[in-house]
Amino acid sequence: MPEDLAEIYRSTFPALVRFLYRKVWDVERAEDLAQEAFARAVVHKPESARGWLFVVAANMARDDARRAARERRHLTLLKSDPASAPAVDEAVHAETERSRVRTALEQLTPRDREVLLLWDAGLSYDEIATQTGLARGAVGTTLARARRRLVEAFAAGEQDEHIARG
Amino acid sequence: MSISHVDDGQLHAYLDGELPQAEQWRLEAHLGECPACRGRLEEQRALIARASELLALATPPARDAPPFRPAMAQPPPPVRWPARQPLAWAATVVLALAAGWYLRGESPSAPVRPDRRAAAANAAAPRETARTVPPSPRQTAETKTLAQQAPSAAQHDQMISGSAVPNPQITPLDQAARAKAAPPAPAPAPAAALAAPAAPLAARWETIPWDTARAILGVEPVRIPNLPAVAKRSSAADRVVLVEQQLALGTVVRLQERPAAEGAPGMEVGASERLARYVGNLRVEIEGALPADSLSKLLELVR
Repeated sequence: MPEDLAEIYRSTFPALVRFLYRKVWDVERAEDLAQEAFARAVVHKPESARGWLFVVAANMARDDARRAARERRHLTLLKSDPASAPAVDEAVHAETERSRVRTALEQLTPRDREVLLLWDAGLSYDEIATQTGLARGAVGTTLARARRRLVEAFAAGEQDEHIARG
Repeated sequence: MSISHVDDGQLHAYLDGELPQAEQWRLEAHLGECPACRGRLEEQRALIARASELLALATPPARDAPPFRPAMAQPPPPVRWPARQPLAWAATVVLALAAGWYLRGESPSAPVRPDRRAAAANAAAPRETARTVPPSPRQTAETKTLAQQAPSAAQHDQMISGSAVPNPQITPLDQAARAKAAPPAPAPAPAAALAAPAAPLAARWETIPWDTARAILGVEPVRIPNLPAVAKRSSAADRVVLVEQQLALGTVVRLQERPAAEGAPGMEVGASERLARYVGNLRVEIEGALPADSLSKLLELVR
């Protein structure tokens, strides 16, 4: 096992989970996929493991989304523990915010979204360019557009909800 | 030089610290003499901050990274339990399970092929069952059904139990019916409940030798290494193997496993009060007096 892969695991796993979470919107699924991506990296020993991981993870998330409709969640918590349930209001609020961001993200083009999530996951412009096939000079432009659209789409979503509520 | 304004992409690259040195100098020179672009710089800075803020809203709850799987290649270090640290052992359960999966793949005992498995079950099961539980005609019949899948045995089985199940072979449907018939269901109970009258849930599982467990699963049963373990099954016909391991006084990890082709074990009646999780093909239950929050955290981890 390459030593540096273990190091990359330590430093990158949370970012990879976050990246995947914004694609599958299920933290357990995201962690499973992240684990799987690392397992594949162990086998393939890619040259630039970090960027490679994100690309493989993105592909897996895409496949996973296709399967999702057919497949039940494979983990079942038969009984949730009421004592540890977070404060309901807080949870509902966080959930609302999350789903608003999700809606906004989904309005971006796939390429814009990908670049934005990769940057947020901690990849450099160089890494993003390598993994997406964009020219390095285009990364900034793509990010500028992606960020603007995200912020606009989120604001528009909020406005719609206020109108809907009256 | 400063005639052409900078575009948003350059501003973002600049703010992201990703602009090559030469371009950065050029941009800064331009900003120095162009208030419009300085204004845009601040706009873009705010935009970036806002976008990061929004993305942060869509962040999963922070959790520790699970142990790196390939590290499992080395044998797990001896575990010393600090007293009263349920979460420490919770993490180790995860580690140990992963190790269990891994080691199983390396097991020197080759997986038993299905045809051999039936024979092995036939050879081992009746003798061993007789040792641990009072033999009943029903159970013997079930063993035969499993081992031989012979029509004659199946007929015998039907006669004894008085069951009207049309297909006497052990099918998932049959197992489902069995599960439904488990105590304390008052409903008319087919098959098992008639012959094997309501026993308390805990007593329903009989201890079996590891060879039998291996024969049922075709592979080494998953268990936490270096911890005493007991293999059990509910009846000779049931192909779910239960491995019980005591972690600490009053804390028991129960791992239920079925042959890989048959999927994860289902939920037994009465089990809904216990906490359970599925790890692939494996059903994991933990019983014990633990603080409620550490139980749920453990379940978060045991996957």
